[in-house]
Amino acid sequence: MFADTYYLFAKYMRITWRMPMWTLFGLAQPLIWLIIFSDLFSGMAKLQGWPTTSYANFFLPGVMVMTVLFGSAWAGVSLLREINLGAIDKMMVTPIHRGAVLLSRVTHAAATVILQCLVLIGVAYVMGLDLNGSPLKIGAGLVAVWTLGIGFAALSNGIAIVIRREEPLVIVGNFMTLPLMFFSSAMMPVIYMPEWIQVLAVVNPINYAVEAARTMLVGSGDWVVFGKGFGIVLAFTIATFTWANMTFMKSRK
Amino acid sequence: MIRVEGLVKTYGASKKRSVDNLSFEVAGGEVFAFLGPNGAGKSTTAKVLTTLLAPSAGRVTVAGFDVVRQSRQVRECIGYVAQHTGIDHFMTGRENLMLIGHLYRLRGAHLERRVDEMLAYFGLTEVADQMCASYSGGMQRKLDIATALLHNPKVLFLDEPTLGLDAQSRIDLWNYVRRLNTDLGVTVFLTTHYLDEADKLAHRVGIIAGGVLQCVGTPGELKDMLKGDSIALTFEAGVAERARPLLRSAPFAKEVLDEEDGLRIYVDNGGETIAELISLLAGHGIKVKSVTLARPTLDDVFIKFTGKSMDKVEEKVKPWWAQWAGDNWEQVEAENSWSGNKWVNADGSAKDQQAFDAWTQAEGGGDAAWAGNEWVNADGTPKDAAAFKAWAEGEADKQSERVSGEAPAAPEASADSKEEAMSEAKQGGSAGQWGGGGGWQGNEWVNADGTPKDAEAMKKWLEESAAGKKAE
Repeated sequence: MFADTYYLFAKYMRITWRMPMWTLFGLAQPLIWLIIFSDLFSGMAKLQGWPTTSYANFFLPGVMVMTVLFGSAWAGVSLLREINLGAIDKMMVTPIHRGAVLLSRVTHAAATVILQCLVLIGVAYVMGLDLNGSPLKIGAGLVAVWTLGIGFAALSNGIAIVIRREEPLVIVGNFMTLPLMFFSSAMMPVIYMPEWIQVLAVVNPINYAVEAARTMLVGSGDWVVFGKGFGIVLAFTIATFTWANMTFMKSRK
Repeated sequence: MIRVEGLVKTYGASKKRSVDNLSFEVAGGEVFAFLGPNGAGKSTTAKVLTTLLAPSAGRVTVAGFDVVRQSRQVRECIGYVAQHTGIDHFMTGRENLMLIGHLYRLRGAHLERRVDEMLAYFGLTEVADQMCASYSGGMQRKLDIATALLHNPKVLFLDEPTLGLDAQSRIDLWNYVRRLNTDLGVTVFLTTHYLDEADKLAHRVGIIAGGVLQCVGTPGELKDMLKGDSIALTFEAGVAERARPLLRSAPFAKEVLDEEDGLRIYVDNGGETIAELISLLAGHGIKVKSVTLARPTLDDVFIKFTGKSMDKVEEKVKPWWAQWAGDNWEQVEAENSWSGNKWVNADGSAKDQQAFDAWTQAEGGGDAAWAGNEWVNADGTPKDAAAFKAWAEGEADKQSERVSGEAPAAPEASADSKEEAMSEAKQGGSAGQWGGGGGWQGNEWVNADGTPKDAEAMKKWLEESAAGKKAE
């Protein structure tokens, strides 16, 4: 299974590598947000009880998670294209491990997002943000973001298989990403939220990914906080992938 | 090699049967073609046989393995080329082959050697490192077949392999399929809706329509079931009803079938019968619009089993908005579609028969305006029965001369050129009609009275065109 996933993953990465323009375009957006929002909301860091020294510092993990959401929520569109082109049939007729088809797709979708996140960290360093010095902790933060990316790409693939058309998939993607963003601590610490949003944030997997990434990248680097957040994100990702793969196999009966 | 017993495949909640109670066998080393119109269940069958779809009922084994319980073993010994090429346009030909090779668990030097072999076999070595987006349709299809052969499969499935290819690429691909079968001993299962493809490639053909297998046999066996040539006649509306009993009782007619705008008659010797046929109908005052003589084709076999010509059975494809209209889409479409013109309703019935008749009379005197064609007067009597018969017989003699003079492939080719000759005669006929009967001077080969202008030259031309076909 892992060999099959690796070869397909390598194929998708190679294709992405040949069209770096798209990855760069995808990168421009979070960079703009990071720069504009950091400046726009810079005054908020003066609020009582604000967890970090500057808003930019607080927002960095948030913008990474935003990149993940916007980047992987469309992963299903290319699955539909591959189904229509017959590329999926071509894989399924080989003795390939059945799970490798989706697994390679979602890990690839998340990996392109991680490339963008690496650039974000570089820019953050140049901007003079207060990053954690330990590469291990930065790496752990990225793993949490990557795992969330896999979960959302799987969700997008699963929905794509259920609705079978690109246009409604785009609508569902839009409908999903923005509210999930705002119902998390990506832009605003939980303590400043109205109560009903605080309740929603508790069941929002994105919130945990942001918390896990924040503590590792710009926070105290507390492994307990990270472990709790990452564990929940991992459970979410395993659940969405399992559902997507079951839907996929059922659609091929 | 392939054994199918009572295969049923239903789709969706409606349990519509896409394939119904299919049973057949394909022997090792055989080229077997599934012939049928679009929507007949060909691709569904191919997908069940290649483990892409699970059968709803029945038992299917490929190379001795059950497609449901031993799907992995089946996949290891089959290659599948789908209707849409599944190769990736943003990778080179070599990369596509390497990827699929890896998925077939081929590794290292062995895989590289197989990839090189396949590229060389299909003449793609030179373009191996170019992006597939730059390949022509024929090249993409060849690469697609190459990917399906990397692991030396026992059975190769080709789903509409030449769909959308130009004539040259089709013939090129046919040659590859033949070579694969003879050189490598690969059993080939192909689906097609091209009659000539099934006829020329397959050892045996199964004709499928509406999800039901109509008959199986070699192309020769299937055509022999029809015994003889077929003559298609078309008439003005309503005339066929009068002609049918007449032809049914005629001694030369083996079988008379209804067609959309006329009748099809099966006879032993079409060339000789045609004159007899025309004079018989003329004797009863029946006008014939057109006559076509043909050696039996697989389409005739198809007509025999389904009562319709293959291109008329194409299943209605659901429009893209059907999913929102649900099961009512046909009704919705009917409501939005053409509602008829001044004379005819949408269902083809006349709105007001009397008014219509009055109009046709006023416009051109109706049927009476027709002045007959080269062979037949407006009243249906032959213009010169003797001349016509002489010409038709001379034509038939020429054919038989050439048949006896040439090698086995000739009958097919000569049948084709005979058709061409007939259609040319027909063109002459219509020219006569427009030229007012006497005005037409004949064409390159035939005088206005139907005698050949230069029998030698015509014979030479016919032979050349037959030789050209043979060379293909």
